[in-house]
Amino acid sequence: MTDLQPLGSPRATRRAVLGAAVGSGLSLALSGGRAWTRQAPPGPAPGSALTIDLPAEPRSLDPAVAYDPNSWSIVHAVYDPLVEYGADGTLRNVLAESLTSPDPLTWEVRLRQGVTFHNGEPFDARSVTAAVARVQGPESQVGDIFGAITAVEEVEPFLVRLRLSAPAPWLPAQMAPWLVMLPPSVGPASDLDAAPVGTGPYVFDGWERGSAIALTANPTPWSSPKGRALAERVRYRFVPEAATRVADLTSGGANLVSAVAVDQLAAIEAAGKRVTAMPIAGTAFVRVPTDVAPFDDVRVRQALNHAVDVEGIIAALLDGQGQRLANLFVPGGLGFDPGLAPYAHDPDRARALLAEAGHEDGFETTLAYAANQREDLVAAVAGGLREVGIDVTLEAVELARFNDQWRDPEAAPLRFVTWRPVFDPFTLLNLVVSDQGFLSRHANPTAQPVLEAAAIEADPATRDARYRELGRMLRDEPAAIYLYSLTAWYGSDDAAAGWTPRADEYVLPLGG
Amino acid sequence: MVRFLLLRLVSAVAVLLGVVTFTFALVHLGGDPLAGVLPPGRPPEEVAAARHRFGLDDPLPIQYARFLGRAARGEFGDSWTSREPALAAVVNRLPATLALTGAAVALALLVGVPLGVLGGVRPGGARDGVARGFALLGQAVPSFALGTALILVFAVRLEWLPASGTEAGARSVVLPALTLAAYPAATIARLLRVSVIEVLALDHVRTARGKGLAEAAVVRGHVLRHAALPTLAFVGVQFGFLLGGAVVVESVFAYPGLGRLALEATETRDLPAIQAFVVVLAALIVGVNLATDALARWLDPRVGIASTGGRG
Repeated sequence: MTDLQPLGSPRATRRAVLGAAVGSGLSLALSGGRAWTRQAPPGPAPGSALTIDLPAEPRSLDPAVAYDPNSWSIVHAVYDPLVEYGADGTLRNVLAESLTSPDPLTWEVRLRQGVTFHNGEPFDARSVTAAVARVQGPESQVGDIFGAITAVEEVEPFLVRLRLSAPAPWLPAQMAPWLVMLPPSVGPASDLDAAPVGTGPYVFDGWERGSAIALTANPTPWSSPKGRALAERVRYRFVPEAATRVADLTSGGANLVSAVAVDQLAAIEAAGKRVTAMPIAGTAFVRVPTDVAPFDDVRVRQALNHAVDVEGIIAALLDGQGQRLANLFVPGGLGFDPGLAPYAHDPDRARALLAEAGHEDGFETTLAYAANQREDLVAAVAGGLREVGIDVTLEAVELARFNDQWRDPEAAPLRFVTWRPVFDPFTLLNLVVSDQGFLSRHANPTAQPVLEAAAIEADPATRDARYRELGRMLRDEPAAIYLYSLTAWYGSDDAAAGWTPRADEYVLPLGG
Repeated sequence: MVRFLLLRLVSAVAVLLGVVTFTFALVHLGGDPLAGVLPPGRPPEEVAAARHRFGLDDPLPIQYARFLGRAARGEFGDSWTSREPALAAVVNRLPATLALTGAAVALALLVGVPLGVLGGVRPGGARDGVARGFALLGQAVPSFALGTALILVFAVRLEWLPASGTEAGARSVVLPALTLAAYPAATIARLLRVSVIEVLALDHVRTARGKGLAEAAVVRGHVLRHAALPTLAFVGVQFGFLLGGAVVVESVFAYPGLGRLALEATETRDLPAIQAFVVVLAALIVGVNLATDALARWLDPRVGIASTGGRG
């Protein structure tokens, strides 16, 4: 086993230097587990309050239903998972003391002791059973993923074995967002929106639908590696307009705002507030299908990658943040190979490849993007394609429809996508690249066996090596126009000093 | 009058039925409603289970009949996304929306009526120029631009009012209401100006002046009552439009009204929430229009005679 290295450090200002490093494996049995519970952390200052603006309201606080960073920000403030990806992008234990795989069909979890839920119930093996039942329940959005668990064995009060139907080395990565611990009294049908109860650093206080969710600091916190509560009272507000979030920050209406637009960064700094740019474990790409001409010709897919000036996009539209990618694997995530060179921006080479493929006069195609994406980024990608003679029509599509069209042969073949998190690439590859994927229009008979082998490889180092091998194949025979790693921008004031941004994009009001 | 209102009520029910049917068809024609509920990439068996759970595996006529039956009882089921009762979700947003719409319409009347009258009484004069300039500006500036400008001035620069939310109570309504009021205020000013000019040229106004009445009394007693009818019709329509159509303003100011709820429900194809919203909104609009018709009839008893076939 080798350790995952940090994904990257938050930059105190957008002008600071990116310190991204590279990961190569998975280490889960971390030390110091029981010691966390012995000493309560220092509490927040009496009377302290923090207001956080998020761009959207959670759909649900039910951990089995929530599936976006806005929802997870609140879910993970109230609940704790067994393991999580920390601010530096490494997988670490939270309520697990250790997580090991004694054989490919078993994950064994030793639990922390002395932790209690907000309602006074103790945390123990029964909580794992309740949590697994929830994510396997009828309304779960991830029933298929956690369907791999066939039994939860409560071996001891603080030792659990998860039995699997097939090897699932990717399971810890899925446990991080979804498998938060529930009180043993919670049943599969309990209403977790009305009164979520966890072991987390904050206690749910109320939800004004459409406006805000209020939390208060856990009065009996345990020393979680997630960090300590920054304020006694926290109010998450839901403000869809980026400019209004910034106005809230600069006028004192909010202390911390997320999803700051790049063109608003200067306004925040001019108002004397802090800008933080955080590399997150995500990727932007344009899906290119292999099941339709002319994209079934690898030379065309290579030409597309040479045509787009990704470095120019990063410099001009992303404030210089992000890294051009060689494939779908991201810095800090499993399978990322820093030695693998991305495609160079080379319009002449692109034209030559198109000519070799019989498209010296280019061709017409359509590039779809969800209406919530930045149009200027998509337009810049299209500009590169037009420069080499490809006549691209842009098509903004409502998000629900966009998600409905992944495999529609009548829909636009090119699709601008941002995907996060990609700490473990299993889900992205399984859905979008595998020839069996529910979102896939890609087939590569050479790469497919490598993809399938990596998905069930138990040894992290070998799995990482397989993904690197797959990464080289996907670079040479592209499944997409590979663009850049994602960055999240935040604005904050002095009340949020000490706040730590995270690579998983959750906005948790916690400090070190 | 009673017959007039009864006939209006019958046509209102027909309108409601039509609106609800149209919405039902539109949502289903727009693609798979589940696409907004489930995250992308769910396995077919999970999609099938969700389809069954939401009753989407039944034939469309059965779904429609079931929906109509439930809607008649005020039941729309739980929102597919928030999972709270859809009707309650809509009703809970009503007070905020009514406060915002009420304030906007009141502001629009307070500004639009004096401007329209001042402009109409002396067309071509300085006051008319001001009124026309205001009307042009109010109709031309998009609400998102006006809203953002108001935030920058009153929230960021002067720090008098909050930029977003409803935490500050009545103060929270001021900026969104001003933004929302700009267009109807401008339209009211233009409509009333034209009406006043027209009515001032009528015989009964000349007679009133001939009797020696002061100009203010002529305008108050003999012009406004007649000139108000087109404006009243506009206010009725606009009130209904603002109830559900303040999507942009509610988004800019993060105001938790019906417009944002409808937008979010549409984005996620949350069928129960969309249907509850449409029925409630249609009922409100029909109610407002009924009240407007009744008021117009009171102002001018000739209103509605053609359509009702006589005085009710």
